[in-house]
Amino acid sequence: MDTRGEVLGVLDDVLSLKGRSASFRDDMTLMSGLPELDSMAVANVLTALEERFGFTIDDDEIDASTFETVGTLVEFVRRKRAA
Amino acid sequence: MTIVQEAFYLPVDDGRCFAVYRAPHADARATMLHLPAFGDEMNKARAMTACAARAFAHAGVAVLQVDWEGCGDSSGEHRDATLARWVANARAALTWLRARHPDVSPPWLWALRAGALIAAPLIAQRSDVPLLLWQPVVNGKQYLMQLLRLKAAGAWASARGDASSTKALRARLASGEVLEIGGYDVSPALADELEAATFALPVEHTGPVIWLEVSSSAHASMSAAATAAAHVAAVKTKTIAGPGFWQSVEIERCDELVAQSSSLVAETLDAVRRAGAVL
Repeated sequence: MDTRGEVLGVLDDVLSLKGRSASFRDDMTLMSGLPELDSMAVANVLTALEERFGFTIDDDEIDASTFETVGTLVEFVRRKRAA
Repeated sequence: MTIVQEAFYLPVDDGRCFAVYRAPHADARATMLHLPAFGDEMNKARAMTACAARAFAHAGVAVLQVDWEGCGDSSGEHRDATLARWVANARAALTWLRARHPDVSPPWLWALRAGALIAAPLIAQRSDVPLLLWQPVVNGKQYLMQLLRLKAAGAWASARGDASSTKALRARLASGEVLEIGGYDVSPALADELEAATFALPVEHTGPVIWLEVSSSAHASMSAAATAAAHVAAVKTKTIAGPGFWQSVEIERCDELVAQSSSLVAETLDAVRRAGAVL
């Protein structure tokens, strides 16, 4: 599985971006750059990541920096998958 | 093929469950019990599952849909609901289907989302049950945390790590409090059962399994759980392009999922009949 591609796919699904995620660069800001990403959407993104990759995310593993940019979110998922 | 539709109350232990039965006018090729999603996901999916049940009936399958106790128009309150009761409701529904179609057996189980957690104890008893799985929840503990996270999410922006974290919500359940999550009361007993529930295909499962997942991107890969299941048993897996109708804000339908399910079920029944003819 290509982690970056999968993460972008999850964002696209949950936020109904209709393919816009394909043009996202790693330094693109998520929390301040994507109006679709409110707290409920964050919860849904975490849920979708858990179900797609089969890992569990604890509250205290995530903070504002996790969703700072596309790159930080992909890196977070890479670390979870490697753990 | 014309179909018949009946709505009725299915008597269960100390109550009654609202049920809808849809079947072909002619003899049914197979029977099927729907195991609905939980809570708001069931609500969001109602239009979709009704549409699918009609399609399956047109394809020759007699389909029974039941609201478990504490859900929809059935007796009881959601706060009194337990997985054990819902499994007992499902058993009563299966008994009804078998009585109605004594020569067609065993009934298919068609599970959506957390409905798979109800399927688990049923397939543990019978390895030849045919399964149709729609985006199944395989890990009850994770699912419970996801429910709690949705409740907690509202408070995240303002105060992080306060009394509304998922851990704090879980502790409130553990202390005996009933929590309202998305409009549905979840009791400590139901939370404990969910936490312990899993769905996995037993290695000895012999019945056909169709495992479908929905993604808005047509080229998405299957979940880790589906990939793992396909290693254990003969599982047909497929990703369908469409909206996540069980969680969307507006009521949505995924017609492609209905079409693919109908044709895969029909294909499976054809293959079973051919195998029977050879024997």
